[in-house]
Amino acid sequence: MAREYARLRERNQLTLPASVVEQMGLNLGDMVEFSTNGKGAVQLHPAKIVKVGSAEAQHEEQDAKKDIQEGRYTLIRSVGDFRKHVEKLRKGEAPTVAEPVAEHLTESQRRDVEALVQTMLMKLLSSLVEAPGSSHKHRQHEERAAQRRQV
Amino acid sequence: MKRELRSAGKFDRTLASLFEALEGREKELQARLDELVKGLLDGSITKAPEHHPTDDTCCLPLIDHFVVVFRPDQSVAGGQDDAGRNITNFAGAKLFDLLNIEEERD
Repeated sequence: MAREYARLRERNQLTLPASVVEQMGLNLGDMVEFSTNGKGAVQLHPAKIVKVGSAEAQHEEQDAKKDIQEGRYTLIRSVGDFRKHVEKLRKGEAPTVAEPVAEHLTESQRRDVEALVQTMLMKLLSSLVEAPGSSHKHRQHEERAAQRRQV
Repeated sequence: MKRELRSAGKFDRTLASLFEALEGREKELQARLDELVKGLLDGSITKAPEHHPTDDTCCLPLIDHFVVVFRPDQSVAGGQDDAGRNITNFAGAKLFDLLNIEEERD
C-alpha cells in the first residue's frame, strides 16, 4: 500500500498529494467523498459526474454494478424512502441498506396464525399448570415421608 | 405490480455531488428525482432511450444536461424515437438498479 502524507492547515484545509489526485482521476472542481469507519480510518472516493459515453462513465457504471452485486445499495420502495435516502446523503450520513420486510398477511392467513398461536399458548400453559390429582399425590407422599422420619 | 429500486453506492456519491454542483436548485432537482422514482415505481414510465446496447442500461433526462443511468431487470426492444434513438421497453420490470448520473455531450 502506497502512503503519502499531508499537513492539516487552517480551517481544516488539506492538500491532496499529486499522486493521489492522479490516481483518483480528479480535476479542478471535482467532488470527493470521505467515508469514515468509526475507528479512525477514512476512505476517500471520487464523486463526480462524467460525460455520457466516455470510458470513465462506463467504468463508473461497472463499479455501480459491482456495488449492487456486493450488496452496497439501498433499497427504495417508495418516493418517501427515496426522499429519506437523499436527505441522509446530503447530511453526509451513511445510507442504510434496507432489509426486505415481510409480506403482509391476508385476513384469513392472519386468523390462521392467531388460532395457531392461541393453541400453542394453551398447550404450553396446561403443561406448566399441575393437574389437581398430582398435587394431592404429592401431599400424600410428603405426609408418608414425615411419618417415616418420626418412626 | 410491486416494483423496487436499488440505489448503488456509486450512484449515491454522484447524486450527492450533483446536489452540491446545483446549489440553490436543490428543490428543483429533488422534484425531478421524485418524478423519476415515482414513475419507475408505479409503472407510469415504461420506456427510455437505450444507454449501452450491450448491457441493457437505459437513461432518462434528470436536469439540465444530466441523465440518470439505470438498468431494469426485464426489458425488450421498443422501436425508435423521433431522434432515431433505440428505445427500451421495461413495462414488465420489477427491479431497477440506479447506476450513474452522467452529463450528455454537447
